[in-house]
Amino acid sequence: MASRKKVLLKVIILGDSGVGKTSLMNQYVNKKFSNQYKATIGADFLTKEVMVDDRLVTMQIWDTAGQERFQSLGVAFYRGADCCVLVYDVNNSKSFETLDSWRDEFLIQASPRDPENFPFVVLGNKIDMEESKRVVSQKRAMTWCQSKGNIPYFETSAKEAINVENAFQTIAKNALQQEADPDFYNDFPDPIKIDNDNSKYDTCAC
Amino acid sequence: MPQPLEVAEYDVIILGTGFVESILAGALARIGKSVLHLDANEHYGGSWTSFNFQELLDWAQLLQGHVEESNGNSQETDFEGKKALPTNLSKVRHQAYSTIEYEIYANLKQAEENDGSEFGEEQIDDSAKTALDYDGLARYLLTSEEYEQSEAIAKVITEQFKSKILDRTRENEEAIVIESTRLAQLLHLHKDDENISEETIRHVSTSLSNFERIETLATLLKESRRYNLDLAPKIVPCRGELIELLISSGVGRYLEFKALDRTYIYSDQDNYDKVPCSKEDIFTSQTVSLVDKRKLMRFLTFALDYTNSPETFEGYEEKPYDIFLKEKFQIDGKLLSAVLYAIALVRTKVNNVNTRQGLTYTQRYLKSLGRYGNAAFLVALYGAGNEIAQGFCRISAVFGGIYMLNHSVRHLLIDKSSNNFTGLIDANGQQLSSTFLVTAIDYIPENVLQEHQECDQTSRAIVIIDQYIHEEGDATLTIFPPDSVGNEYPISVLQFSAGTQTCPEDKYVLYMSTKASGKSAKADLYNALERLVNISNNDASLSTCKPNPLFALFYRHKYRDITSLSSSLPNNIIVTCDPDSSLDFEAATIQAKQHFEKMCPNDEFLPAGPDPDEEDFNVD
Repeated sequence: MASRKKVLLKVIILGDSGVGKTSLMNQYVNKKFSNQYKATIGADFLTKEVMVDDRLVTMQIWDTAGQERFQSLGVAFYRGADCCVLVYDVNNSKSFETLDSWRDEFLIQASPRDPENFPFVVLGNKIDMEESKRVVSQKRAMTWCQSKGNIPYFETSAKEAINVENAFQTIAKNALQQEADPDFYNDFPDPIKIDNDNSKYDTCAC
Repeated sequence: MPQPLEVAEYDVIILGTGFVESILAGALARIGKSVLHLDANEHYGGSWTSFNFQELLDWAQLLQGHVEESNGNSQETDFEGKKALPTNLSKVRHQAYSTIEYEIYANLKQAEENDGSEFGEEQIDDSAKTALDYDGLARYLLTSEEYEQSEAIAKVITEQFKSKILDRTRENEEAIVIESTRLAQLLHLHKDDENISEETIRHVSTSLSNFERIETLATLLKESRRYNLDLAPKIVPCRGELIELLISSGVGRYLEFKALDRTYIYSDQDNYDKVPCSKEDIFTSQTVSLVDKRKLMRFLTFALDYTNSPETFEGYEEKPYDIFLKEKFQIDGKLLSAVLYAIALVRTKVNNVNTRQGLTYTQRYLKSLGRYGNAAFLVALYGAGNEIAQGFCRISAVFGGIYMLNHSVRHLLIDKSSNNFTGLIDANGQQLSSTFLVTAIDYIPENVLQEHQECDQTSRAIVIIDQYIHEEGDATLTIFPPDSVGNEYPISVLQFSAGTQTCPEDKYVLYMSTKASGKSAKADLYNALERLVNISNNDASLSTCKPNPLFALFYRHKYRDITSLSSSLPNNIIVTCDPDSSLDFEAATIQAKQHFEKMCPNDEFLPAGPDPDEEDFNVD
């Protein structure tokens, strides 16, 4: 066995506009929350190093950058995801009902090798709002998660930082499991990334 | 009912998500312009997109079909005192492509295996009898007056196939429908023939009995999503305009690449030479003689820093590049071909390339070596044009650009007095206005587009094969110099493997291209393809060491002239170009930059974004 490579996990967050996807990311990575809603501007992906079962892994959490608003997320966004986080707003039943189509869309676009066992995590966000406003019960959400192959479910508040740390710990853990599965691509040399210049080759070839 | 946009006014509206439009979307949003980016297609990439197998087949069938006549709607109308020019995307886009032909091949490998086994007497009798039946059926379908419509013919053929192919998988069903439709159309063409030739009957009969073709098609459909097939395949030089832009803008973070391992040049018969580029290559090359090695070394050393020794090329600047190479470096014959077509990657006839251009091209190649290993080019994973375009669109979205795919445009609005573009009416009937319009040619109203007879065309082929050519690797480039296989212009053949996420593990894809010269794309490329794969069913020419084809699509792609078009359009409409015939994105990247500088002369072109992981970064 070759030595263990540095692990980079790609996590994507899906769900209707306004459910708090960007806020959840920001709360988890930057410990910040802004009450002012603004359709996502300036959020790309955030990275965070986490310990999972004594292993240090880098989690790269990708925001939709607002491209979900008119169903215009391109296939490139989904590529190579190790975990898919589905978010809905517990005070908005439509955002819960569309989870099905977000999950389907993910499976079609990302075409994971083993769709049955691909790790999803569902977050019911905005539980800090008044109880009277809540329209999706915990039971209803858990029933749905169970019917889709026991998807782990968390009720969160990005605003009050409730359960956010916990949820992302599970996300990291499940993403790592996906990554650790036997990799069919191992016959091929690793792809080249161009963001940090490979200047180690910087000698003239002629 | 689709929701209307809350905001109806923008700095820039962009139509089409092709490579150039997407770079502009990213650059404009990055400096704070409000951008609305629309595409009538369901996918990103416009004519630079990549398709899975099913999508590619649908696309080819669509283009082979009739071009819809515009329903008298191409005339301008009046809208609130402005000229309203109707767009007709599907028709205009159609016009960019011609001579589309595709072929699905019987599984030759399997046929070979069967040949090896011993046929019993009975089987021979059976197959001879069946052959007769098929001749009869072919004759019947061709002559009977009962079957005038191609749909009716297709139905009979479908039943015929279904009675033989008992395995009812979804892919088999689809393959049967596709193959029946294709055959029915072919038959229909001969319906009006006075005398139906025996040859036609034979041909139809063979197709009717050829279930292996359906098998091939079913296999391809089953793995459809594993294919990312580029309509305008391109590679990225390791040093150049695009790669620097990808790095500086941050778009490179979204992408992954593989190195183009090797370049080959066709020599003769079934022989190809590896093209030596680096010092190491030249030393170890067994195809280059010692004398040639010395010449090549001397030339490459000069070319890398040619601007430092202007005396060497003084007086040759405007002369053909080959004259310079012959006279100053005694480079001739095969070596000359290699330098011209595989290193400088000249895409035209050599007398059209002067020494100044030739040296620029050569230096660009040499400078690209060594940055990412011993390769001059990178191949973007999952198809280049589409992935790169999506990367720039994402940057645009991150900086507030609004994205709507599958959203078409009805009319462009032009102010009558100033003759400026003021806005458009979208598919929902909503009026959206902007200061600038950036658009792919496909969205230009039909009556503004004159038929450009004299535009450059590229003949292309996408071929799926079952084995690699030359040697195993992620990606290779093979060049056929002019006149080597009866071709007028150099032919390039990129071979991509599963490692580049172009196709499944046991397949390879060939992307062929050349400047159009003959009567069709197929005519321009067929000879070269025949050298590389077992394409003719002729047993004698079947070679076991050559790969077998499964599918080939040939098409011509126009490069429509935007300079003359722009002069007939309002000043605030910026038209972007079609994919060009070159192997890289360099010219298109430069064009995007020039458009940007024209629109925003005082702003920086895609500077690096703020680091989102920085502590002081704020969503507000």
